[in-house]
Amino acid sequence: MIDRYRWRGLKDLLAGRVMLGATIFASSLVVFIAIGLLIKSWPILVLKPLPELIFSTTWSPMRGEFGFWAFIVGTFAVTAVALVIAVPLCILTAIYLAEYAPGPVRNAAKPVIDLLAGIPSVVYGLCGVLAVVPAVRELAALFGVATSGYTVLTGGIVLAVMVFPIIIAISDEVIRNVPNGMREVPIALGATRWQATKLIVTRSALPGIMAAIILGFSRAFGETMAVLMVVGNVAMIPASLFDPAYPLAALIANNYGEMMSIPMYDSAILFAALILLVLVVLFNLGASYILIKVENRYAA
Amino acid sequence: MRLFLLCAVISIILLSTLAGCSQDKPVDTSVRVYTRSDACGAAETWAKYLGNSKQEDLKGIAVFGDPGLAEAVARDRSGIGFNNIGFAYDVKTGGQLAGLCVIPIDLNENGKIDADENFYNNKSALVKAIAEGRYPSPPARDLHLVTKSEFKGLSREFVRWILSDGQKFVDEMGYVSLPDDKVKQELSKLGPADPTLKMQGVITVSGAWALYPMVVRWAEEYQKAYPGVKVDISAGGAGKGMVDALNNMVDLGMISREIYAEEAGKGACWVSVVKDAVVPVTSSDNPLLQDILASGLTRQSFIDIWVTGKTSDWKAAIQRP
Repeated sequence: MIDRYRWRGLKDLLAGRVMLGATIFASSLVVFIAIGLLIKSWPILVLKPLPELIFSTTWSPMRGEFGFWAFIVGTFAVTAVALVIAVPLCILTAIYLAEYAPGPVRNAAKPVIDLLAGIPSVVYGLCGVLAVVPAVRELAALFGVATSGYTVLTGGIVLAVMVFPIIIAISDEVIRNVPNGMREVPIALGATRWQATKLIVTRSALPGIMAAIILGFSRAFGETMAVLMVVGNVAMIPASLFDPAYPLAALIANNYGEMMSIPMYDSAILFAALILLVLVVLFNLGASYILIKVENRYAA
Repeated sequence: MRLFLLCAVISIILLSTLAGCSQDKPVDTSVRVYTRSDACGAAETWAKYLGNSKQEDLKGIAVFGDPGLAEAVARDRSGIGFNNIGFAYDVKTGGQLAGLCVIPIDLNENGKIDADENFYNNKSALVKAIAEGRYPSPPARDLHLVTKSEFKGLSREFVRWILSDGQKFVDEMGYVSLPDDKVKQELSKLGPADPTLKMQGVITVSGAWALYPMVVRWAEEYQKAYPGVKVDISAGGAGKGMVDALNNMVDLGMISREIYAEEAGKGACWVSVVKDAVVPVTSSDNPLLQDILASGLTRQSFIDIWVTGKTSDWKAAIQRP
């Protein structure tokens, strides 16, 4: 009896330790990655002052000029365009699916939208080249702008489609989790369904919806292949939607394989990776801060 | 209110289409410049032709990969780009790829394409011109195999075979053989064969995409000739081939560009094994195509288009100052 008791205790202890180990491993990965990138990009950090690296717009590595500003701006520009397109569409879709859609419609639409998440990035890129690039060229012509179609807008559209499934799936889940009483009370008081949804349901789901947008945003930041195929990859600060841009992730993907034999270039590319990592971390921290604020306000 | 908005939207759409129709547009002859986004031998070679520039000096919309660039230029009536010959000509028929048209280079700069400058109709004519040195180099280029310090063992014999028997498979793959004296010179870098060497073992190769299909073909034939030898090949870009070779991760690295001084300083030792070339291309829908084919473009025009940005119009590119 005693043996069996001990064995149970041992299993309990073991299970706890193994899970602790797995957690430590998973959560320390990001630290190891950051340290690795820092070590690899050290040569360029020693060579050039940090403000010059970040704020200079001259990118000419073969002449020893490493300015990352155009790439940083490019990253934000493409992501911002994607979010402006994706957020309204996704939230309206999620509200419809959660609040309005009859069962069969919902059951048909959900899996199709989730399927979008499983399409490989390079397929999005190809569709972008074949369909979105010519469409943007035509659109720009309407505005009297001559462009190749490889623009910030094109990258933003492709990226928007890629974050649809994330934002829709999470927002839908969050809105459905709002207790039924929140709907019944306003409707009992004579509000329309739209009033109930707009004034009560989405408000109480707001922190969750914001979390969904943030997740979409983080994905959009680092998305590489699809964007780099349509965004034009010109190291300049885009002045309009119809200008090309060059996001950090595309810079890394375009150059890493070929340039790792040139020490300073190699280091510069890894520094780009470090900037990207820092941006994502900063963004997530800022977003969680805002999220906590919002949650507190609604709790109060 | 709603009706008003609807009317406004409809009228805006109508107006804009009307405006589009009523403008009697002159033919758009502006040049839209394309280049490669990924660091690659093709762009490096083309840049070198344009006044010893680097890939980073080439202006224009940057598109990923040879197929991407070919696609972008083919779809843009005013586009100009450059491609490896493998992506400008059809592999099977040897004719120019649908949608693309190779821009003839006006080598003697007399304002027209003479008979001896006109060798772009099909791949075999261009390959012949490259082999005979009538097409300039760059943009024709040597492709290299590189190793650390010196060629040795099995991989040395493989390279020796490539430079002798292997050369006869070059044509069918659409590459260009090295001239005979160049082959002799490259062979002399290898040193004498080791008579005690057993033809048994594995040769590992990695590197440039541009050389990959050729080396795969060579490996097939070599493994037929020497059943004890296995050749493992992976592609991943010239930089990867160089790093792998310098770190002794592979026996041979495939390189599609010049070897940089930093790399030579680290002990890179290379031989040229075959040639190919980069050619300037435009869309076959280009409104000025006939003029372009008749007069060609000079190297200076290309420099003005890609590097200095002085020329942004096809008419200006064709006209000589």
